[in-house]
Amino acid sequence: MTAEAPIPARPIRVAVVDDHAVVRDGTAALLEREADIEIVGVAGTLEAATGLLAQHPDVLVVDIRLGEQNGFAFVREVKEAGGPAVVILSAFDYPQYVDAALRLGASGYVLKTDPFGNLVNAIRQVAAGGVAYSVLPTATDHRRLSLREIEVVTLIVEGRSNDEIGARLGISAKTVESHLTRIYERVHVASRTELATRAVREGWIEAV
Amino acid sequence: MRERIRNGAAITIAGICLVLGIYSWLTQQPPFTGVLLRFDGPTLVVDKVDPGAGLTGTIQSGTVVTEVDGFLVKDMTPDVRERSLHGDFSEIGILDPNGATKTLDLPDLPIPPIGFALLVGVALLVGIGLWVGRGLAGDGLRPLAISLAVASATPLILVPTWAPANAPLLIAAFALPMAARLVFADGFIAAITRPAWQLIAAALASMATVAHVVIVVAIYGLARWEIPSADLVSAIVIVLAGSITLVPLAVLLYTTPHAFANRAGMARRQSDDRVPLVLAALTPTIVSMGYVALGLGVSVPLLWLLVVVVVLQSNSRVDTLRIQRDTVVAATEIERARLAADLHDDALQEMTVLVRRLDEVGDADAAALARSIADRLREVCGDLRLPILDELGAGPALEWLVARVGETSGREVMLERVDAARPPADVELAVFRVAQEALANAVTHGAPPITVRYDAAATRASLSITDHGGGLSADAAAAAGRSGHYGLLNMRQRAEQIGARIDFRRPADGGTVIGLDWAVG
Repeated sequence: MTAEAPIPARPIRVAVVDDHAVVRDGTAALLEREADIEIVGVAGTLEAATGLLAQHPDVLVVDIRLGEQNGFAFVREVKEAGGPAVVILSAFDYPQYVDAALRLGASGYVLKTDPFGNLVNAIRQVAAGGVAYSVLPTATDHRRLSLREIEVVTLIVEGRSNDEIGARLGISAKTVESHLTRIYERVHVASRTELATRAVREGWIEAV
Repeated sequence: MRERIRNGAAITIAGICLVLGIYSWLTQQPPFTGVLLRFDGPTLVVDKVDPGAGLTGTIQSGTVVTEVDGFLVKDMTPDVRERSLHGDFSEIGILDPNGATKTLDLPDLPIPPIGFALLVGVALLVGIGLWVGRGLAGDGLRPLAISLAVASATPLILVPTWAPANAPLLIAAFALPMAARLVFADGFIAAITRPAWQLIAAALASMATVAHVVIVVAIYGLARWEIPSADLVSAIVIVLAGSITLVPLAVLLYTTPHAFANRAGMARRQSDDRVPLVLAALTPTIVSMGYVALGLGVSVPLLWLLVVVVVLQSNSRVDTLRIQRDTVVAATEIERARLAADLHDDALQEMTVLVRRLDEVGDADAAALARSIADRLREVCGDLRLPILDELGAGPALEWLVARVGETSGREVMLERVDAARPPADVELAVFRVAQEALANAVTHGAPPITVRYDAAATRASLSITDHGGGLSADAAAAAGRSGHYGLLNMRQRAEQIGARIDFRRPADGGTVIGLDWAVG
């Protein structure tokens, strides 16, 4: 989380969802200090959080444990509805939480006791379409992947489409698709984002 | 609906039995003297002599009778003649070898206390109905109250319809071993809940039914009364009684589909609920056997009732203890969850605020300390109630547990899991707690590699923990309740609470396998 993301022209619209009022308001207040971040709303419950979506935030900052409510379920709803990017801000650093966050399509995961700059950077990074995980997911055994599959993963990390990957490797887009399906199964991931994040984080491939 | 049909059937049977019993009681003429006469042409002769009358060797079938109650046979009026044929007399005269008339006083045989038996039966009907119906024999049996009361009481109600027998061997064969088991009440409960014993109970009840028919037809059949249809009725009602005996056993077998397959692994909670059922099934057999065997004496049935009461009481005490224990465990879990939630919702959040303030004022040392306190709080929180378990389920929670046990013990621990859907929360909690105990045992007593397998869907879950080496001592599982093997005891308890089956095995090639299986229903 050390690399500074580029500061966009218009402020990033951010909403904060946390059931603990002091932390929620503190987080919002600290974020407001950043010139490039605008707080469009805060919420303490899932119902209020759903209402926040009407403000069209660019980034949702969400806690996992919201009293009796489950933040993961909210993240799933938001992502399935094609909602904004999500950064999870949790008191827990369990790798299993990170796995779930990746699987549900969250773009970032920051620990509450991390330096506050981590959260700011994560918001900037995901607003720019990137991913920002400050906690590691569970280790995946990438040794199950063949050399060809590692090549595909490398190109995914570079952000190539299936067509581009096919052209580069001299195979059809359909073959790339079937490679991907097998890769997903072998390393237990659910999306390109998750695959790319894990590959970089866990050093499956040479850094690009 | 099934309950209503069952109760209706039971009440109908009880009604029929009551009518039969009362009718028999009012109309039956017991053979007071044990001697029956008949006319052979103009000659009055002895037809049958009851062995119990003590006249063996003096008179026998065919002995010529010259006087009845002082009336010479040739001078008999029609009404005396009629009474004689119905056994209504107290002395008879026979010819001795010298041709003189010898008068025999006929002793009265004991009058069967059939009315008393009927009353005991009715009392039993009401008593058991209330006892079971009010849940005093365990809540699980309440729906069966009427069936059980009817099954237990009908043999007594039906007593007037058959006559006494004398078969002390049967008492020895059925009642006394049962009574002897009273001395080992705990062992008796354990024994009777074993499927093999349930099978034996079923066999006993069936055999007793056959025995009833044989006794009545063969010993007291056509020989006793001159009206064959009485014996037919008698045989029919006894078959009926025997069949009723089998009803609770049929229920027992019907409601325990895996009773014989599961063997020792069957959840004890399920089997214990069936102890009163087995007893109720055996009661009518024992009670009616006692009547038949003792010539309607009440000591054997009363003895058996004592056995039933004592065993049922100790069984309901076991129930009470189990409920208390489960309540304690449930309360502990609730308290732990509450503490964990408090830690997360208050202390950890406030640590977040503190860390941010310390960062802001640039006190790096204090911030580092605050972070390590937060780490420790997180750990305590997870030890109390792992948040992963509630938010993500048993699969991810086991993943965390396996990684942690692997790190702290330095042993190789592997997890294989297939859990697309989550079973209910209480099942997940039990699975996790059993895994915790089992892994603690495995790293202490077993040898790596240690493998945890978890396979779950919404309606079922199975967990196994396998290690290779050392292993549990052969009888550790059996000794779990006695000698402080709290780990095994805890696992068994967790399984019982969710109605799962748990078993502890030692494969021939060494090591230990602990398996937990749960399915809906």
